[in-house]
Amino acid sequence: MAGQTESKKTVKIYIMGREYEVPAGITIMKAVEYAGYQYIRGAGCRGGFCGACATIYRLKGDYRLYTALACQTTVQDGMYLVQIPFAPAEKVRYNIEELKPTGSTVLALYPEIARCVACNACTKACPQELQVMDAIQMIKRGDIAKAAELCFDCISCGLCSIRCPAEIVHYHVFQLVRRLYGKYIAPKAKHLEIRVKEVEEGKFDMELDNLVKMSPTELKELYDSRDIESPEG
Amino acid sequence: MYYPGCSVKDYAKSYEDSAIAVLKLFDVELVELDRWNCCGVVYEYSADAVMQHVAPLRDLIRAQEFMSKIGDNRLVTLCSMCYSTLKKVNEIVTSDSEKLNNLSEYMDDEPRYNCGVDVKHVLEIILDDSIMGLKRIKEAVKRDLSNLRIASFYSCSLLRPKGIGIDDPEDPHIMLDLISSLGAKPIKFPYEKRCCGSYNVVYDRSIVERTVMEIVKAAGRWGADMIITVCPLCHYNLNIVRNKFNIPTIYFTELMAYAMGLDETLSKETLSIFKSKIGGG
Repeated sequence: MAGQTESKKTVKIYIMGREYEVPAGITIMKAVEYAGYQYIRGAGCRGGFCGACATIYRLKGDYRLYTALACQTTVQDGMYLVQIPFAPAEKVRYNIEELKPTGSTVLALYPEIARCVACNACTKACPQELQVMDAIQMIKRGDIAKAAELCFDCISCGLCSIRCPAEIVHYHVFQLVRRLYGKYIAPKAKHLEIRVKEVEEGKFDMELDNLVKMSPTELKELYDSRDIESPEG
Repeated sequence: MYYPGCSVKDYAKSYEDSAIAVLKLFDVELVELDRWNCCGVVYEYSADAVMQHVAPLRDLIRAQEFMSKIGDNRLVTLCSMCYSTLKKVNEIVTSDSEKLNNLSEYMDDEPRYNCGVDVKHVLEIILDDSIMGLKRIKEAVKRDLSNLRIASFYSCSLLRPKGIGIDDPEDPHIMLDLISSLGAKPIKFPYEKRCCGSYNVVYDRSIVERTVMEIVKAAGRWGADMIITVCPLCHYNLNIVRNKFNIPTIYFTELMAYAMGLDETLSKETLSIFKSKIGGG
């Protein structure tokens, strides 16, 4: 049969200590499934955005502990790996309406931030390549806007938090920081306010009522004859 | 190069604003490091181990990367705690290559430190005749402060340990010299080099309250209208009892800025302190 003559390249990996031979070039996530496991937790979007498939691994002959997203990282020969679908942490309860967008606010809710020794383990662990430690440092110096900017692409995988010797729960801290930024610092979207007011005043009520009254055939016709924006304009 | 430190960016913003304004008047520009982290003072001061030196060494490496961009290896700090921490760790890794090796092992994400950064406290820049110097400071004074009696409070980290401190730890004089040059009356008082109680304020405020009560009361007995300091933590602690004795503590750069008429950089609060002490201004 065609293709059979092609020599199939494989690599040896160790999932939770057990050896498997899997095709080279596939992602860790596919390799785990290839080995016969079925994901119940630890898999989400499979596109590197949801942060559900946090993985730690070591390589043969290398003391370092590496971190990765299973859906974004290809298997390597001699990889010892395990997935960590959840980083346990308590989310502090707060009322955003009562908070001020300052460093002291964040420190009061998450005082362990003050224990940061700038070891940078969080930054090294981040699969998004964010400057995690710098973001924590921005909070210490009271710059919430910069902290929010640095952690904007955080996907809450929690790998930084399980590596942190100060036991900071970065992803909860960062969510708070972005909320403070969004509520108190970011410029307000004026057009949104106007549109919401228009909706509340019933500007679009009649149009919507008309749609509700239409038969499926009429709706289809309306849909097919809609204006479609083309790239040329 | 300029290393601000967290306090100076947040609690002690008036320190930074006034310092930058004063230095600018003499064409001295502080160029802030493009990346920096906490100097690590809390851990650095605790005991002799590797982890405590990681934060300050990382800042020295940031400075090493930045110094080629601006062609100057001097790293200036305002906060005396940052100064002491960065200076001490710079000396440790420069004189003890084994320690530097140990630390570098923990920091394999950074380039190696080549010990080429020169850590300075801003007072050293201000008092250096080739950069600013007392003579030129005297010439830049625009206000008559002759009725203002000012005590200097040095902060431990500016004077000790020997070799790191920038003045005689037993009989310091640089702040008094500065006050004289600004045309005000320097008040030397016995508690000028006492510890303010430092971080004890976090654990037990009453310890610090007792200490600063003695200090500020003494400054009053020796006739001071106000106290100047170089350290945001001393500033915070001494001001706990400012109202009790009507003796506020301000940053020395605020005094300089006021003397030189740089009112726009001073906070309303600071301006009102001066107004209440000399009336009208």
